[in-house]
Amino acid sequence: MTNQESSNNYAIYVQGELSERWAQWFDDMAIAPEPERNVTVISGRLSDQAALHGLLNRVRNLGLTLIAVQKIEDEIE
Amino acid sequence: MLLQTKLFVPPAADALVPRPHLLERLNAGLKGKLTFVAAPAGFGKTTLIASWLNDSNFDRKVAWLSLDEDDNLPQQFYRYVAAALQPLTDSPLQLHQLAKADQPVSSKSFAKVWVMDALTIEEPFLLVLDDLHVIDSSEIYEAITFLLEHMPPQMHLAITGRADPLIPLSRLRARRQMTEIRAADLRFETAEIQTFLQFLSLEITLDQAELLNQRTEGWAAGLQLAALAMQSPTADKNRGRFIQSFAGNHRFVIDYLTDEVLRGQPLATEAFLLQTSLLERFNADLCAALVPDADASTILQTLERANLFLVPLDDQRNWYRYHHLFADLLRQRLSERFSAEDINHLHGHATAWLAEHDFVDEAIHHARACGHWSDVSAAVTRLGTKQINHGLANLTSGWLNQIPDEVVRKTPGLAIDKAWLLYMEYRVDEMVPYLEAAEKEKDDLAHVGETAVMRTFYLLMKGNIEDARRQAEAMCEQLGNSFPAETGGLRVVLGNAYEAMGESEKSGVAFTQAAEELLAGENWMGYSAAIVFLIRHHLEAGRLNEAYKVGSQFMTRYSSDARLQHGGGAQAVVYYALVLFERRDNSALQFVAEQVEQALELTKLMMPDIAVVIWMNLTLALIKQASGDQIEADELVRDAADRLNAIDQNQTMFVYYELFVRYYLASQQHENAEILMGQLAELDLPESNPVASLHQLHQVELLLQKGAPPAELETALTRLKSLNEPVIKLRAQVLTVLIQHQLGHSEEALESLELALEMAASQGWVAIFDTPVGRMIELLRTVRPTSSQQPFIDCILNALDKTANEHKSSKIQVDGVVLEQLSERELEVLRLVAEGYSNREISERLFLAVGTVKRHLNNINSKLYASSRTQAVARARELGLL
Repeated sequence: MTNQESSNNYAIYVQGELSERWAQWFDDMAIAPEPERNVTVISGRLSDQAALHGLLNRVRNLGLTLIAVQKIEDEIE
Repeated sequence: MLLQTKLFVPPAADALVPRPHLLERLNAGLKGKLTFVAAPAGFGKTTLIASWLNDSNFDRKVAWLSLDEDDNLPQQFYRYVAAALQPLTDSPLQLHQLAKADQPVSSKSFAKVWVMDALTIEEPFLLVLDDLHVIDSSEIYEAITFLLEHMPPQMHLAITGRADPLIPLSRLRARRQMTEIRAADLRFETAEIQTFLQFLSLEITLDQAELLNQRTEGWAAGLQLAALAMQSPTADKNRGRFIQSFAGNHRFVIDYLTDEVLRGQPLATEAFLLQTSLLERFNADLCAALVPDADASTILQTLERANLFLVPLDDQRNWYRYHHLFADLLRQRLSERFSAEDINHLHGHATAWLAEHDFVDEAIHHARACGHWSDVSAAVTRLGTKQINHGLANLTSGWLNQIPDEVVRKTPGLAIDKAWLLYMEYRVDEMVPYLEAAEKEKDDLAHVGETAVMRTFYLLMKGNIEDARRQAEAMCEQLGNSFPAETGGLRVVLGNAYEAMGESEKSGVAFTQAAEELLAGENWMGYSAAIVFLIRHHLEAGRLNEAYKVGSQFMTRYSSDARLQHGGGAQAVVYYALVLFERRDNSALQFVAEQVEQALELTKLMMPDIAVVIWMNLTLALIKQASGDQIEADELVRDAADRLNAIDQNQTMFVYYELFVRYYLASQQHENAEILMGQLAELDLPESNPVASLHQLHQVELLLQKGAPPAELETALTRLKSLNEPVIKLRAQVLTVLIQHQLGHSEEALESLELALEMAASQGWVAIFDTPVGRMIELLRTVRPTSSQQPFIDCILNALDKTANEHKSSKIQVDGVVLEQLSERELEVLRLVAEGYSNREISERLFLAVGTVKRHLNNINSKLYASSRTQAVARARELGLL
């Protein structure tokens, strides 16, 4: 696997609170609402850029407001 | 099959808050080029545009196209754009032709044709591209960008989407040529919210409306859901409390509201909504296929009245879809509540119904989801071949590419189409496994016949003439009279086989019958091909009159039948043009030449078969050269030579060499002729090959043109006597006349000429006497008083004189003043030439065919008495025209 394409953990922040039932919609990513900040974090492993864009597309299709996208670096053992 | 629903202008939603300020902006924006409305799902973009169009003050013609993911395939996109624009004009759009292309068309070509077609629409109009965000094809965005740069003034483009369109907007923005409407503009204000709810008989106070605004942020979809939730029988009747609770609840708005709305529906309706949500578009019938127990039409009516996100797709209220956002939510709920197996079944029902009703593309969607291909296979089997025969091969190809290969190989009806498509792309060896798969079906006679056509064509291509003939004859007998399309195809094979075996008469009969049958069987492509073979057959046998009859009959059909105006039909037109050329039928030739030129432009954009373009170029070049357009003719030949160099040289290409040589000799380009003739000699063709005789003919002609010594010419005379094929004999005779005259044997020359005239008169071979060298006109005048062919001589002289005059007028060299003014258009062209643009670039900038540009340059040259671009520009500058 090349550097660019190796799978990574991502955290996508959207506005509002989404319940866990939406996990299936987002390919079994973890859905964690944070009520105090009125955001929800959708997180999990994505295999490559294409997967990331697919996910962002789904966010858009649902009319959710995208706040941030973060790559979570793998911890070095 | 085109989905008319994609072209349907949505009606204005009834319960809509009027937004006059937005409408004003939209109307004002019509002065510019582009309007775009970009906002996330559920903001009311489409609703806004729809209410704009349905407003009584709006008076433009409208073309609407609702896009979906399938439209990323450029060919599909062009089809729908063409279909959307066609109702706006009486002239048939050229976009339709592009859409039928067998290979990808460049975005530039498409865009140019798009602009040209737009120019034919006279009244101001609006093209709406709805949901453009589903398009991620860079080709399509390039085309749209080009369109915006060259947009005709009467056109305005409106785009809606969830993302900013991928076209460079900064320039349009800077020049104030576009109107942007964004989420912020679309959000509802508190007062508007109150009005909206009041309209639905939901009274709320301004404070409550303000709270609702905060919660939904003025989002149209959220507000609609809120309204529905409030109307739901299970909702709290106390409005204030309801809004409070909903506002106080921390769950995501749409999550909450959808559940509220669904909870308020009768169970049957809820089940209906969930199950039908996996359909893109539906009518009551299709819904019933998925949910058999439900009373689909009543439920749909109820849903529409309740304004439950049902979007009508036509006037008759047959077809609907769910609002995208709502559909997404329903699908999510569906996957929660139903098992994967049940959902699979739903897809299965969907694909079955859609396939049965010929909605193949959508059927394929669902088949992919559930892996059930039998219904799709049946539909494609039913429709695929017909589509190919009607010139829409790329559509069938698109379908087959989406169906898994194992399914194609297992289904004879699909395998045969795949084999045809591969054959059309010259991928002959690849087609064998599919052909064998197709041959497994032995009961369906039509299919067996079709397979036999394919098989015998294959045998022909492989040089297996005897087997091809035998099998084709046997199959024709077996099929009898009931399968004209199939027997027609077989007879084309037979025609070719007989020809290869030297049985000329049988060949002609076969081709004639083939044409009749293919026409009766509605195989337009096959019919055109049969005509090509037939004309060529008569031409080579010297029967110019017959060729003319066939050609002119075809031409009459072709000019009035759009179905024939496909690449295949164009080839037949070119052969007809060649016939007219030989007869020097100048007025008819003028008309046909224009048709050929048009067809050539489009064919260059479409055909994968480069050989056809070479052929068309060369024929057109001969015609142009004969009517004095030397410059254009040379350009065409240069283009043909480039193309020939670009493809693999193989044995069959020698046919084109012949045409090239003929052209070079006709324009006395000796060097070029010699190079090619050398290459031809290297191919070492057998004596029996007709091109071998032509080669001999050319060699003699070259001797004559270069002024060979008498001894060589005498030898040449003997060689000429040995040539016996029908038309070649005639050409040889004409050369004999010229050589004898050259050698000083005047009496013999005149005798030979009389003989030549006798040979040529009955069939009307006129062009043969238009020789580039020698005093043919003088000789004809000399022999006339005593000739038995006076009417024919007059005919020839008439035709030749005209051309001679045209030659003269373009060659006058006079020192002096410009006698004719350059026209506006000519000045335009000349200016661009002065700036260093090539003909191609000029044709793009002025939206002319390249040929027209050259015509203008010709006129310019003759008006300015210049013989080159450089000279013309220099003269024009001298005269102060530039």
